Amino acid sequence: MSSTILSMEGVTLSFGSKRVLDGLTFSIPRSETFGFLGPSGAGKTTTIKLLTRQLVRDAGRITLFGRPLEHACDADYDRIGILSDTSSLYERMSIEENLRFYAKLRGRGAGDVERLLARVNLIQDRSTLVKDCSKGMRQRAALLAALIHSPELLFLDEPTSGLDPAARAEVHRMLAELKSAGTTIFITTHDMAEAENVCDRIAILNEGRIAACDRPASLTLRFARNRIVIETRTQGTVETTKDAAGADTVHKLLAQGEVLSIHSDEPDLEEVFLELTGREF
Amino acid sequence: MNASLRKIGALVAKDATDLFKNPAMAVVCLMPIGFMALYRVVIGDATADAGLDAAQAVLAGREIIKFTLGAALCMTIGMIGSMIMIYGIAEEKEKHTLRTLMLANVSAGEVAASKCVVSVAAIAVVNLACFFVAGGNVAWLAPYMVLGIVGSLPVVLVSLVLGLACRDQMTAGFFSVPVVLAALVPMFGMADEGLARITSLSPLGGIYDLMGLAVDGALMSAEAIAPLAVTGAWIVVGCVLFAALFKRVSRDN
Repeated sequence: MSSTILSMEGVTLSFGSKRVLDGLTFSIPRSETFGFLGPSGAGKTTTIKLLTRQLVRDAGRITLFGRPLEHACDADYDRIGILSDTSSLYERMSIEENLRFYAKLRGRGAGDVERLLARVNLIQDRSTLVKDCSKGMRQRAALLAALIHSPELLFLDEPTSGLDPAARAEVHRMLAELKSAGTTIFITTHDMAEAENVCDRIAILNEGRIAACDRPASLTLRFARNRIVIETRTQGTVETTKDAAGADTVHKLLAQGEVLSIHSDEPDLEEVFLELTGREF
Repeated sequence: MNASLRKIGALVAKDATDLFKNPAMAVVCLMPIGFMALYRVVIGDATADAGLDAAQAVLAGREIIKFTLGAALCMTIGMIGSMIMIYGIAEEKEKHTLRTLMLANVSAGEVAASKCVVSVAAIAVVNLACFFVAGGNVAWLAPYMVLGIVGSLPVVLVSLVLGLACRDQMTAGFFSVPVVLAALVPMFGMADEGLARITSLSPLGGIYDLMGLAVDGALMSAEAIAPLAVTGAWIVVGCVLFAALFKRVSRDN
């Protein structure tokens, strides 16, 4: 069985004269959490729509579970869970009724509903009508509906957008559990901290192109500035470079007992993005 | 096939439950029954006060029951068909639940099949209630129910396409008015014979006339050929419109 669950190669898509995706190329191995980052309008949701049959590409190749996307069948899509930016449940039904409905659609039993409700602390609120739920509860319930059939591949389009910190933490905890259970996750977000915490690898998307694709730590190292900042006892803040001369300076200050702290001045993902694209979020 | 039937079963259960939970749909289902009760009281009182002799009263009573049963069919099919199909689908689109269903690997055909089943079933149940409220003779019940189901086909199919073409509930209102009016047209035929010839050609004109023939005991006569042909023609029109437009509009935008 191929270890690559999903791949795109030179995929392009235009809406009229506007090129929305321009030569996207990446692949996602089994069990990886892959983050797709970019500002609004960068093409994140469009990419998910291409991968989930909501749009058709102009050119390029997409494979899903090792097969070209155009040969993917309903059985392949039964192995996928999708939480889109507009996913919503039936408002006149309770959380539990919605989940039972989706369980029935997916050929699952009531046991799966119980298991999932317990996982995100929604047992107490199971009978609450969706129209009476907070946004966080709705989002968690919609996520459960996408997970009801234990998908191998999960597409999440900005799953924590608009959630309070507690609800975000709850979603992140669920994602960590899914990841440890071997689920492959494709997540779009414009939250850099979320990407850094949750993703194994990230691709930074800008104006329809992938500007960089790597592990978060590797990206920040790649764009680390050539600067070390040393807090000293008597000389204040000393700045030096990451080379032989800088090493000598550090050594000398250490020998003098001057050093209070040493800081390697590495950028966070947001700064990496700015560096790559010149755009702000 | 099994997966598809399972999905349609789940959708039917959900759509049927929603008939009771959605106040707008519940009211629309009760409206034809209410109208039948009203007609029976108002028209019954009017004939009682008209000073007719026994023979005239029998004839008048027959014409009244022909009208009320025909009207019951038209109202039920028009109101429920358009409400469940057009408003139901438009609401799902507006609230993004239709897209969520599609992303859960449910096809447009499965959604359409469920809505059609629930719509026709609701029409049959409300028709049945209307029949007894209107005071129909049990001997007419079988043709009445069959005509209700057959007559609902073109309205349900066209409403399905219109529902998928709607962007939201506002446009659903715009699209459903002509459907309801077209369904009610045969009721106005009683005002004038010339007008009746025209209304007989409307989508439900055929079943309205066939119901009248059933009350007269002439359903199996040569007189039934023309209204049968009209009904058949409208079913064909509904099927052709559905086949031509369904694929185009079924992609949820």
